Amino acid sequence: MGNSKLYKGSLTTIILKLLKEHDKMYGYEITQKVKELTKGELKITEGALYPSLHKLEADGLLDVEVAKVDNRLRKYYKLTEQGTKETVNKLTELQDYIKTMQALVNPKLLLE
Amino acid sequence: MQKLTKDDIQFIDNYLNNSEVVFTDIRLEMVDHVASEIENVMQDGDTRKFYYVFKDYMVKNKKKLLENNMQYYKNADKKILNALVKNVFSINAVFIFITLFLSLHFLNKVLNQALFVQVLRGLPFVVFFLFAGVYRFIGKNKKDRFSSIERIGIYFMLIGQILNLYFQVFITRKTVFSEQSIPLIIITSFLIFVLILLMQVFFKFKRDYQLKYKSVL
Repeated sequence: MGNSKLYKGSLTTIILKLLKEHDKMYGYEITQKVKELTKGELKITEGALYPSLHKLEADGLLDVEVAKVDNRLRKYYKLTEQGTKETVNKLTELQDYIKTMQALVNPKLLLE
Repeated sequence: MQKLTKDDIQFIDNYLNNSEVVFTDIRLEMVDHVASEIENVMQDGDTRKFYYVFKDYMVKNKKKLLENNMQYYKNADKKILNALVKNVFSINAVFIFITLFLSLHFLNKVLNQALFVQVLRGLPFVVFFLFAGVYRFIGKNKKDRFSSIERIGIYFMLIGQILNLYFQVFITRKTVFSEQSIPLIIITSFLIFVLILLMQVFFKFKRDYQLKYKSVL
């Protein structure tokens, strides 16, 4: 991960966004998808991912489905109705944050 | 793509269980994560046997894998509290509380004071031990332990302590009782009410786990 502290606050938004685009995903699949989309720049660690997934589940934003795959059990996560609504809010928040940061770091870009 | 065998999966499961990842709901996805990563490494051309790839993975990643283990307890607490709060504001809960209050109030009218004090003393403890017994025998399973169900035990212990304090401070003082019978009926009703809500949450979690994890149970 390039700068883990900068990315840390956006982890739940990243998870929610990915689950919005895919019907259901399991933990390892999420880490691989993030790695692929960011060309290896962002690597989510297991120690950060699973507690975040469990927190989102405890908040009622994710639902869980367990299936037997390749000699083992796999836990799939999918968005609940509340989770779908929250994803929209979180993405708006993140976009606003990016705009604000851009205004601070590179004001010229906003003027162009 | 090369897939790990049942024995390989069992090996990972035992290893994580011995590394204090004791809850089935948490361990099963860690097992899947580790197995997926090992299969990926093998797919990318590592021709070594499972055990050596696994050992390398653990040397590099064990700390990261287990670093936030305590976070799972926090999440389980959050899940329990959310479920309790949701139950408190249901019509069912209002009905339970009013029924408890009116029943105790009725007993206060028909029983003499000494006997009613015995009821106030004994009833919360009877309910507590009954529920704690049910929780102990139905809820706890040494083979498959689930985080939220095990965590409910902490709340039972907490309520047990509150009951003990309540017994020591209020109920044993007759003067307090005669002056404040209505507040004491409200407190007793509330304590039994919380125990009932906790039991409802326990049965809800038990049902959810049985439904979602039926392949392991």
